Amino acid sequence: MRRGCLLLLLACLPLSCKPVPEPAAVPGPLNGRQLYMARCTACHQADGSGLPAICPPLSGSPRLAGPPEDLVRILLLGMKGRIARNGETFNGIMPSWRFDLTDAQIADLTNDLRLRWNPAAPEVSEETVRRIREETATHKLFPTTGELGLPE
Amino acid sequence: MARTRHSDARSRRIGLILFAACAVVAVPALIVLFSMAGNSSSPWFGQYDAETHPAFDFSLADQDGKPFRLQDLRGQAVLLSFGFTRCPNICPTTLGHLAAVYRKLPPSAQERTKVVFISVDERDSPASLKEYVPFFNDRFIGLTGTPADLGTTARAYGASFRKAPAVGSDMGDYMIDHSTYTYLIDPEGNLRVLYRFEQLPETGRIADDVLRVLGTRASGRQP
Repeated sequence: MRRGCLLLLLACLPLSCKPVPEPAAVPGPLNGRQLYMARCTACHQADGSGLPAICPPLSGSPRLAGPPEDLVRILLLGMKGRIARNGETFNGIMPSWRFDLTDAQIADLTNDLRLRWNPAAPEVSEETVRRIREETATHKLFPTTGELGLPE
Repeated sequence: MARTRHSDARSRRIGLILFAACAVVAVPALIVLFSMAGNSSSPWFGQYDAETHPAFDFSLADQDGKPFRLQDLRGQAVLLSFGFTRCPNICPTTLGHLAAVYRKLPPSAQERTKVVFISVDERDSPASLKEYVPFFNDRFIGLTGTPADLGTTARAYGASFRKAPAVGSDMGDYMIDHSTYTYLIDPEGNLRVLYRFEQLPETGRIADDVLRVLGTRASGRQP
């Protein structure tokens, strides 16, 4: 009885920042495109054009070319601070999705981004995301480009 | 020692039950209140409250460390949310969406609208809010206060929060579980519309609600 009452109370707890098991965090297996539309467009915009002074455009992003490690790390850890692109400077913050999205979802989101804005880039596997998740398990959230070892 | 552990465990258990009870009672009560006041033909996107319920007039400190009261914003629409600057996902997403809502307002409405973010994390100082809030919009207002004032304010809005163990990534000693509603307060200081986190991507529809409370958009049910 006591356990039943406790479960009922816990089931009623509000949605929060707490890292919760995957099935409770995402209602249904959203694919990469759906995840982008639901979580990324407030800043990146549906067409990837970004926001002046806050969020750089995805088109032409060096993170969408070449090896996927930098992009996956940014998706897992988030990022904040200055980024320069084509003579323009952006200063914003990006959420961390490590507590919300599975390895498969981050791989799907990464592949959707690369398919749309850099189709020549090789596909990213779930195993690659799992490896990077483990490597960054104790890393600081919201690193700057300098802390990520990226050029500003 | 064993007695202390027993006492700590008992305190934690009582704390959990009290928090859960608040979450179970306060948030649903607010939703029921708003649901009863609205109806299915409502033109409002969020849960609209046709009754007049003055929003709690909190008194906190802004990102410059200056005293700030909700009453200072009388005559303006206010979009209010609770959170903390180390929040990995919910808070930056919420503020990103509210920034998009703000951008969709015409300049004249932007002048009469404020987005207010109340940090419920005692680690957040005016200085940390001053760094954080402009990441979304430099017109947004970040507020903090004493634990007592923050607790009173959160309870008055049916919001709940509590410390939780930090897991994995370096987030400091703890993180905070918190409710995720956004509140729209009308220019007369009444709590009018409540949004669930899942509604926030509909930024155009929220902007329409803001214009309605400002009286610049036709509505069958003006506040």
